[in-house]
Amino acid sequence: MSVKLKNLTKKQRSLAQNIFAYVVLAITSIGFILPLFWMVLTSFKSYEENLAYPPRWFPAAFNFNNYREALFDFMPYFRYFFNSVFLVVVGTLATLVSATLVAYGFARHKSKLSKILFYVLLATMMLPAQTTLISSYVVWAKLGMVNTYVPLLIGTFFGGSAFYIFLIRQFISNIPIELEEAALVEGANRFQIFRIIIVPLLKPVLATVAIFSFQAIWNDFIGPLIYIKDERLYTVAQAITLFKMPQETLWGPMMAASIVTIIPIMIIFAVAQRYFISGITLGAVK
Amino acid sequence: MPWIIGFFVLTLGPMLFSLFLSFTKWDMITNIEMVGFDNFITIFQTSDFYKSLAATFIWICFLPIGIILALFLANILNQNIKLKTLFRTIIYLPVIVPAVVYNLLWLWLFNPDYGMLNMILGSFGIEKVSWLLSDKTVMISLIIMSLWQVGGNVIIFLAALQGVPVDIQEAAEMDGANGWTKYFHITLPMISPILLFQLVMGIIGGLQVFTPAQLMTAGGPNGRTLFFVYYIYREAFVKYNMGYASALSWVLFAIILVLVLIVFKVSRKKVFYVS
Repeated sequence: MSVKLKNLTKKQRSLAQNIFAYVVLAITSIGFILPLFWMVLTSFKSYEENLAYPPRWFPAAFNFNNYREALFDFMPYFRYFFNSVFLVVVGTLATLVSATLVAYGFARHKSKLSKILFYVLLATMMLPAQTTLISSYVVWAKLGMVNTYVPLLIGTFFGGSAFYIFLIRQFISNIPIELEEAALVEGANRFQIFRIIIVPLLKPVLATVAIFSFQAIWNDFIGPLIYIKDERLYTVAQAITLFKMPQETLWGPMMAASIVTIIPIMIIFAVAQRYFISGITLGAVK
Repeated sequence: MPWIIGFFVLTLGPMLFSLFLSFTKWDMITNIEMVGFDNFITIFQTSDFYKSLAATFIWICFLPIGIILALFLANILNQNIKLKTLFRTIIYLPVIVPAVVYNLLWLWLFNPDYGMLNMILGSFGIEKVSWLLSDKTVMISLIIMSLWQVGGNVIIFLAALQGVPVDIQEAAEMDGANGWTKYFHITLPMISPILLFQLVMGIIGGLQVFTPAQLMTAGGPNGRTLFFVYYIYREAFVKYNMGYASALSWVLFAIILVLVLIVFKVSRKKVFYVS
């Protein structure tokens, strides 16, 4: 009898707990979705509706004028879009190749020097980018490289962020070295081993790094802000700020352009959700 | 090893150069002028420096709110509930929105006259809040915005919580531990390394907050959001005080180093490692 009673209260308690959980999650979810919902609604409202007082939730009619204005009339949006696409594609490919090579070196080249260098690498993760921002800018400016993508991309050819190298190295360290030794006996050279054995095994971590790099480059703001002054070379992230003008802000078109800018990331997120999530957890748990 | 070249050319070189610059006065047009420690002395005599220090530290002091909220949500998501994936996706969704986009979006939401937040508050009969425009509410507003980005931390905590071994929890239950004791004596210590990681990353990231100041508040009102990196940016790329700005960036570096070391020192006793 007493056992039954205990069970019952336990069941009731877990029911109460569940209800509490659902209520919290529902409120949080609504709170988290509302800003995005407002963004979508704003993009469909007319100029007058967005500046009507008091504001209303829904537009009188859904129309795509803001999209037309944002993407074609106000600015050549797709030029900026493809500037960003170019940066993302080159930057991500360069990161993948160079970071994997560097990580392979760190994982398999066991010497005192490489150990020291690895600690230096980890230390650079702590270093605030601002420390080198100004002096790098000065050098690039003196080299006449402002208004080119060179300063934005060059890092990706040297392994990208230390964090990517670190992630891939951890992954390679878990691959049994016997595999490579066997291939070496079979007469494969180092590069073949790397290409045929290592790279295919790295697919999950490479996907994660690719997504991180994509996101970082697509979203980068301070880099283009400092190096790209020529409007024709703007990235999408920069271009969106153009809707904010000294006298007024064109909220409708700004939100329309924002939505178009988010869509590529959303698509990749939908396709590769588990890599997004494995990426941030890998970084933390290791 | 390309990274070695990259490191020397792209990190170490600029670092040394930046150290050199911090002892100079230079606007990039006239000749470089060596001024010794003048920049560092000026820094500590400038009121903007203290304003930016205050703004940045207040920002960091609110970090634990985000971490606690993330931990709270992760715990709820870690229960056996339906629609878990949906809730997790919704909470994570804001994280993939680019900073520029969500900063401008929140600038719009915070608009006192036409923004969504005052509209919702208004329908509950609450008077207009001036959000970003007032000394008193500007920091709170930015913190509310930053809480919207809590999803990344939630996912990390969720992974950590799932790594807490079930057998230990069961053993504790056998010994009569109830929910809260179990939580504070097993779960929390088990995930404490992740908590530490979050705190350290939060401090490093928090000290480098920039975009909201650049896009939303321009450091105002009254320098309340003159975040350190924005201050550096303004000195370097608006006023072209390259020497002074470099000196500032080294002060920032020193602050980060000291804070992170303090956190590690304090946490050494509190954090539990399995191995």
